Amino acid sequence: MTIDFTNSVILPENLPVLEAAEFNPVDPKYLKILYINHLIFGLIIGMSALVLLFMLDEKIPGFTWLVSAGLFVGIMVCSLIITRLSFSKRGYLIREKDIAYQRGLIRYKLTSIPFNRIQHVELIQSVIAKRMDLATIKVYTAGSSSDDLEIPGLTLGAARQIREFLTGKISPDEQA
Amino acid sequence: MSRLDFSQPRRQSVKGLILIFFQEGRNAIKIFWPLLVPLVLSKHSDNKLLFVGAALAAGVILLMIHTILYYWKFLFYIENQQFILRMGYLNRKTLTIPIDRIQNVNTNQTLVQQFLHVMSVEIDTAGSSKKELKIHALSKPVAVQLAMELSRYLESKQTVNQENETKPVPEEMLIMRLTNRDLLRIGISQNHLQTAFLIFIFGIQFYNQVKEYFKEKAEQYAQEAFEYISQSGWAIISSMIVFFLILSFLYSMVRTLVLYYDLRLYKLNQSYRIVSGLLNRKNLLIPFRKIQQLNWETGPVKKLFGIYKVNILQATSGVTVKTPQIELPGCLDKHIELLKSDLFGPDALKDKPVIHSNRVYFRRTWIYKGWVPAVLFSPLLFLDWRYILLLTGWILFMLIFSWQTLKKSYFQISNDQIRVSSGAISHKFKQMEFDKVQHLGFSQSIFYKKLGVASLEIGNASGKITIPFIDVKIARALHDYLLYYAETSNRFWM
Repeated sequence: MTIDFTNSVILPENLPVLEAAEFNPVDPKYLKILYINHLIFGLIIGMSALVLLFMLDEKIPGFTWLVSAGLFVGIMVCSLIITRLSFSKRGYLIREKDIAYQRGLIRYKLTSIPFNRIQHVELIQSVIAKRMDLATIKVYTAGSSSDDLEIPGLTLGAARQIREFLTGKISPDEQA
Repeated sequence: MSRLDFSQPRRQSVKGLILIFFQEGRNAIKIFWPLLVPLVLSKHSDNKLLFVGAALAAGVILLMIHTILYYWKFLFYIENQQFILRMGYLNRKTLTIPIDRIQNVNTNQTLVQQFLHVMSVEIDTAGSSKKELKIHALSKPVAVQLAMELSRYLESKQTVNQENETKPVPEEMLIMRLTNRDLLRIGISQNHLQTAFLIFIFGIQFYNQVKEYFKEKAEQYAQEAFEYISQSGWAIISSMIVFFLILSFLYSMVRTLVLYYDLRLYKLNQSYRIVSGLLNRKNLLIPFRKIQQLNWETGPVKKLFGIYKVNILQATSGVTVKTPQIELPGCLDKHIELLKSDLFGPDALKDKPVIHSNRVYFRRTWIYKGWVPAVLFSPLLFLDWRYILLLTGWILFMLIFSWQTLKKSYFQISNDQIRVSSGAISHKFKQMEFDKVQHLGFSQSIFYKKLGVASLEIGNASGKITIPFIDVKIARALHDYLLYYAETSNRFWM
């Protein structure tokens, strides 16, 4: 399979380095959506815990109530703070031949996809995002969909632009 | 066997009528079953019996008419390099598939089909999320010839692509065949602990189900059994473990026999063909270019027999269709060497340096899998202090486990391919070429930033390979290099 296939060695120094490039931040309004998502999630967990406790139908001492409520609020606040702090880590980068997205403070993750591997591009708007004029771009490659690249928190205009740009980059023979 | 002409429209085998009848009958029941509910619930009377009988007869007659029409109007043929399927009598439908879009042609034979001497042919068009195309009942020679005919197109297409000249398609070559002795070895070397655990869980679920129906009795029995167990203690527990292990062993043997009976691996010019199975004889054709990754693994018992379990990972097509992944248990060293040289060319990784994961990988595995569960289960100590033995045992076991995990976590890399080793009790290898790269993921936890350790994820169209806890500089360099490679490679990944 590798007959007639040459591949010259490129020294690491000559490779285009991704780390050095500047990432574009996502829209600040997206932080609000993250907060809202958090609150909704917290409410659901809290409510279901309450319902469960009432269903248990046992006397729970006031002290236990206080501690668990405090713990719950504490965890919520901590996770909100982490969300706030890691927000600045979020960013995307579109280069000549690939697209990358990074996020995460506690667990940093960078995902990159070369243009010539893109299968199709999707623009998604949730109900809340629609109200704020924000959108998510999802880039699909062949194979598993869970690891595909997703950039949330783009302004609708930017998202549309990116979609058009990427769709133009998918070469026709790769679409077959 | 005379060669069949597929340019003329043809129908399925007449015996297929039986299959279609039952298949469509099942579909009809799926749609109309709510209508049956009031019938069953209504009061019993003579009229009811008559009515049910009449309705049933009418249904069967309608179904028979439908079956015949369906059969009569289901036609397929090959025309102008296109595979065409026409079906339906009320709504006519024509499916056209350009032959060069076809990725795989597989034949399959279930027990019923074996009995009727018919086969189903499945045509897989990767890249589209369209529902797979399946013809359910072709007489065996027709099915085999159709599959051959289509594979011939596939083969010739590849030969043209690869060398710009049409070589005559060579005969199939038998690479590997599992004998009954091989099957015995494979059965013995399965992970019996895991299976025993699954059977145990299944048993509990089954017990709960049964309990619903025979509430009192079941509880009474359970009570008695429980008392019996708690009285006789360890003897009964250990004999139960032995019981579940034997059960698991038997299950593994039967499963191995059913899945891999008389497994044969053939090699064509640019593809493999695999035939296997006892009740359901499967026949899969995999073109080399669809193969994304090769996995092989061995375990303590497998090592004794010198056998490996090999998985050939294909590009998954679309979102809805599940592409069959090929498992070849009982491979010997020579088989793996053969597969590797077919798929990756001469071994370029042989003399490449081995790069190990960082030592923190050991610490992390031990903490997460050893200490965390031990701490979570520590309230057990309030029940009985003797649980300390179990908890310490677990932590010590995980110490060895984590050490093995670190020892087996390494990779080798050449200009155009990578081989990653992993595992703890078993030893797994994964190998892929860089032009199969689809996406890359670089990740680093804040706790390991100071230590300069990061992980890299290399995605291909069949899944991903993760290299955990390597030097951050290596991870970055690999990330940039692989990205560069995928962008400049002009070989198509599929």
